[in-house]
Amino acid sequence: MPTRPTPTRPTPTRTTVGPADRKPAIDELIGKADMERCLAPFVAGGIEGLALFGDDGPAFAVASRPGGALTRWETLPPEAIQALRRGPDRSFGVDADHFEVRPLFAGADRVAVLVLARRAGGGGALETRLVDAVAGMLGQLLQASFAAWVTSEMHLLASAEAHRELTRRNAELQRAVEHLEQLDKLKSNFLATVSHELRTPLTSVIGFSEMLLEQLAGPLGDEQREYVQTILDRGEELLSLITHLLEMSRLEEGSVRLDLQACSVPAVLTRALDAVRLSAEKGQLRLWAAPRAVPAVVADPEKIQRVLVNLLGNAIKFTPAGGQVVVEACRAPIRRPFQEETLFGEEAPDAVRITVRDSGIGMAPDKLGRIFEAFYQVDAGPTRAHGGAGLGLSIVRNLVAAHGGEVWAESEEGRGAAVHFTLPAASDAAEPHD
Amino acid sequence: MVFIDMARKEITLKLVYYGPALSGKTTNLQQLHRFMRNHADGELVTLDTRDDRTLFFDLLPLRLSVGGGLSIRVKLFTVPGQVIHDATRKIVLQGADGVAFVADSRISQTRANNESFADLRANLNHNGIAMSEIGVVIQLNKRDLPGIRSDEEIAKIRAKGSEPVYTAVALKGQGVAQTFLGLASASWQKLDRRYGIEERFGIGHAEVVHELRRALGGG
Repeated sequence: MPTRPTPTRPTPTRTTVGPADRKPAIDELIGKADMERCLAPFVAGGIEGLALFGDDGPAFAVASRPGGALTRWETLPPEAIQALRRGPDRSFGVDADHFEVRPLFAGADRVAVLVLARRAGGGGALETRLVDAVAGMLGQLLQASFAAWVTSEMHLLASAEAHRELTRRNAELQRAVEHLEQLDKLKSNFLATVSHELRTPLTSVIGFSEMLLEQLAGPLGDEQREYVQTILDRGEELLSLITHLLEMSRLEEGSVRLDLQACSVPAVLTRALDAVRLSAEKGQLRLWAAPRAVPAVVADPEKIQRVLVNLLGNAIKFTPAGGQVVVEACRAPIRRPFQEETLFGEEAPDAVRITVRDSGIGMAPDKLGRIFEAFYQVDAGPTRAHGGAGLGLSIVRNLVAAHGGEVWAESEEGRGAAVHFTLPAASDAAEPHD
Repeated sequence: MVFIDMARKEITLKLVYYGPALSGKTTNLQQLHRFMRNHADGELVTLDTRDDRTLFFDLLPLRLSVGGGLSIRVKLFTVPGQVIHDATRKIVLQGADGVAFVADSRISQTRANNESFADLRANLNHNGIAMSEIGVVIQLNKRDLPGIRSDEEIAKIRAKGSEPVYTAVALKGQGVAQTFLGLASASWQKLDRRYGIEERFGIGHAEVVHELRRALGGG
């Protein structure tokens, strides 16, 4: 009859053994001299001597009357090993002498074996209870040493692991630092230039061009009016940039104060839409709000208006004519969704999420995390076409964070973008202010 | 990875209780320790606990004799749940044969549960273990607290994942033994499938589970 070939299976081995799995040697748990000092007082009455052996056999510590059998044992005799296996009666004899043996555990493993020699020549019976008591006490001692040993081993290993991780992150940080230094330099340059000295002359530029346009200095020709209008427009753009910069630095210092109150979401949305309706019409975009039934939010209405106008302005800027920009609001958790794992369900929707969605040019997913950084520009092409210093979204992030919410973006290149932010919901009792 | 000591005729199984901070992993081990007081071959070792939080891990060893002079040792571990103890979790997970994921049933803890489960998956990967190769069970603990997921929602969790789901009130010992038996059973089956333990040693799954149930005092 042909034999069936046995399927080959991998042989199981433990490849890595951490301190959690490793069995310590007895001398890693306690010193020989300490153990002998600990055993010595028990050499009295019916006890001729006591000895501790390592789990694999060699003698470790001995306390005995002079000339006792145990002083001659270098390793655990086979009779002792048999008695150990036999349990619960763990006594045995070698030649004319009688012994008791007990296993000692630390953690999950037997780490040592205790042997007691009965006094030869009528020293009286050795009570089992006494043997158990001595073994129990030594066991507790080893257990405590084991806890200390494994703690220090874990400390070492955990530090090594942490060190490896730190080295890796350090390299990452080094790269990030180089990038940040560049940004920081840029930022300091900006902020250094922004001050009264910049704002004051700008006020004159704007004021005088307004006066010219109002023809306070005499009538203007069509071409002249066009030039002055351009001066005024650019001046105002510059002023708004400076205002943004100052606001940014205030936000980063944390000196911004919020006037928190319960606000009705539809009212906030309507006000924001009104503020940008003109530019949406200019860009030939459809603009509307679609709030579901949501609770009022705890917010500073003026700051949230700023957030929305900023996000809507961006959406309008990056959406070509014929597209659409919509603002939605719904109940949601205060934190952005955890994408990796949803086995345990969704988080409680105890906040309000507001989303500004457009059908514009969108952006690559790897850029999404960075658009909320100050001075970050997705790329030179479109931004240059659209202007801006890359501060708007950074201000948005700071303002939303000051409310305890979170802001994040979703997008695909060429398929529009959605920016979400969350705000804490007001308790039902609170009356919304409009 | 299961450890087989041919000289001592001993198979060692490593089972790890994983989960977010303060979800009740150590409590599970303490209750098991209470159940198997006459069977454990060592004490429950709890390391460096501060304010009810495990800093390193807990260890509960258990030894069973099965047929053919063979003994099975089960080592139960818990990991520290706090996010900062990631290095310790990685070390304790090395060579695990099974994982019981102890989740907090409260809805407010959803995020922590989800994050910890993703962390478990990542740390198993880090140790070269695929979740499908080992026994994994889920325990939704703290069923006696207010603001928890309903039974219908748990049924949904059960339907969504492939892991067996148990409910428990570990502080009162409810569901603790069931979770452990489920974990040991699932882990044994995975091991048997990989290493052919029944074929090699002649111990079957039913016998192992029976012995474990007896060790827990369940007859």
